[in-house]
Amino acid sequence: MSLSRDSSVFRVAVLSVVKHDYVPLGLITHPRFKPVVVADDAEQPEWVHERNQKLANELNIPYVRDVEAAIRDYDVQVACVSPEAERHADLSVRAADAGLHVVQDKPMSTLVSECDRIVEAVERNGVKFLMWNRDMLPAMLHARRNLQSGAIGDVRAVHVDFYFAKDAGPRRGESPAGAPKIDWLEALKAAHVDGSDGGVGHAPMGELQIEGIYPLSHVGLLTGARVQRVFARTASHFHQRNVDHGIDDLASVTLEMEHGIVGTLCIGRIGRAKHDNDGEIKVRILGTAGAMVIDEPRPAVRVFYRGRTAGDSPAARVGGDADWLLMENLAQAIDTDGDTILNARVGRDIAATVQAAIDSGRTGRPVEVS
Amino acid sequence: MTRLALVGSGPDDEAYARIAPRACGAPIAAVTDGAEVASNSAIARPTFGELLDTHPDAFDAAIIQTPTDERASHIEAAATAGKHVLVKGPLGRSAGAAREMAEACANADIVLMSGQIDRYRPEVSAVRASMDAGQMGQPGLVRSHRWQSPPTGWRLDPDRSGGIFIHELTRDIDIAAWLFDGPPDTVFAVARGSDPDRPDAAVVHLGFPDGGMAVLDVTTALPQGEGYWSLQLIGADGAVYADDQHNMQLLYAGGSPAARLTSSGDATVLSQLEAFVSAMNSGADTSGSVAAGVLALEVAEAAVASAASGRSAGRTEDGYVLV
Repeated sequence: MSLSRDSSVFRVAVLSVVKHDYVPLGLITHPRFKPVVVADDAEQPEWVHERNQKLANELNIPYVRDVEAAIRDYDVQVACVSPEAERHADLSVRAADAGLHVVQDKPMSTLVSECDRIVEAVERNGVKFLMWNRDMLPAMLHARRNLQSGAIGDVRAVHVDFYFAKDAGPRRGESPAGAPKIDWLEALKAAHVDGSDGGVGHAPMGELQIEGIYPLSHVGLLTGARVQRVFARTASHFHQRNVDHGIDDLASVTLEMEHGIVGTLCIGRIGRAKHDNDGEIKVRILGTAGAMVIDEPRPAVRVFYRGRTAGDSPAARVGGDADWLLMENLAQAIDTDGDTILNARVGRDIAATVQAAIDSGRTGRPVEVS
Repeated sequence: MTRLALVGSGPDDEAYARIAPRACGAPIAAVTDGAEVASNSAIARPTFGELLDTHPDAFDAAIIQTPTDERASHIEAAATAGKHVLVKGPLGRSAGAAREMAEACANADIVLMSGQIDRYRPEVSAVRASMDAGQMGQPGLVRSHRWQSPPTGWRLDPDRSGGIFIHELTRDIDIAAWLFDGPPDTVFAVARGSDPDRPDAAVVHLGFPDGGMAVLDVTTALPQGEGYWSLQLIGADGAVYADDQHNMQLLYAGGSPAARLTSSGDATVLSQLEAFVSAMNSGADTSGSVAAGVLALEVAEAAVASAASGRSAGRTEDGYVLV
């Protein structure tokens, strides 16, 4: 089923799109990727079908309530997978088994064992897999160019701040005494309106699980080294729903990596009031001959106007072509039988790092990454 | 008027010389053989012991910035002579030595202050002020980076300085414990360097009660030149970001522009010296400053043990113990 001819247009099946639609919308910035169908399993609940239908309407393509039939009937070569997190692996594996290349939203899965299943299916079927990521943002390309030019020598350490200045329902302690636990799925479904539903699904997830792949992918790409051991602190510091479900909304991780490289990650969903932009996202790199401090959201312009609401970030990212570059990366990988910038195996290793960090946060001890 | 003796040398010598008349009402009264500033005093540059022997009445207080392994004897000598003491950098080579010095100073009824220079940085003062104003809520995370060029002289010798954890990271540990208003309950650390006995980069990862955390990153391996510093505090209600990157000015002189840090002048040293003079004049209790200095050393020693063993350390009634 897979095509890898140069200059070919890849027909894409969007397999569920229950949270952000940034992945399918990012995908269509590249002219070689053409969504032709949205599909999902018939037994999914109605809210899932509604969201799938909405994207199908926006793209003016059909919505089919049968994944295998859609793959069979629409002559697709690529799957764009963006359901609830716990269904990522299932749909990606089914797509890979059908011979489709896969673009998948984060997190890779809620379970490392499910990530292993994706790796096995992708490699057994010889298809390409791209985890959506932020490594093609202009500031990150800038960092990599400088590293490759030898500007700071070899990397010794990478430190990433990754704070999302977003709210997440009631603040910690705001729920009345005796109030029932906040329903995770319902809360995340409701968060869809402002795009803060990255953790939508039945299984509650902390920020490490939801967003950790972004900064850890930065670390991996900048160092070229695997994480071997982690020490982490995790806390439910800001949001009642995280307290209710015992999951982190603030975490810090020390990473011990191959070649003696050290990394740290501070990550959190810290609340809207904590930043004038979408959040402090910064990468600091120490090399053998210098160092770099990189603001990830650059270039940007700051926009202020009468009537601006507190929820409107004054800083708007501008320039760059990250979505197109990601899809070009996948196209090249298909054309040349090469690798993607964030393939299944690397994604799996990141998921294992996240799991080790969660385990370390629980035990207070360093944990080897499996 | 307070007459100061500058004992030993440090990076702020010139600033102390500029600020002393303003903060103390008098220029630096005496310098010892290590200090690198001009003094109005006619006194030659003796050792501290010689200074105490030959001109015991020439000064009222001493800023001690001698090699860390010599501080115990210098502080005790100052205390015996009834001189108040401001210690730049760690109070001593070990927490045990620092405790002994603190006791000696208390018995001599002189003011002993731990320098804690970073607390007096204008940016750090602003962080603390925002906390004290209730804008931050319960602190959740403190994150700091301090990168600088390799030290020189005795500071390069870990046997004398205590190495990166004692000589450098006690500064950052003190800030974290100060912002959390108490000691960490968990310590984890890693250290790196081409010479395992002289690491030039280290991360100390601290846990505080109620889920608080701090990640402190220090390196002394930058190429010669200016360093980089940043401090973040993320609280339940607010956040503060102090970062050299935010305070850079651009200089265009052909090729790529250069980023130059906007200097805050002598504000840091002035605040520190004013606090010291105020404590001397008012007889204020400085035991909190000393206890904080001792705590920073205890945590740094736990970090040394953690980095050597690969294990984390927990705080017990008997101090930090590897777990």
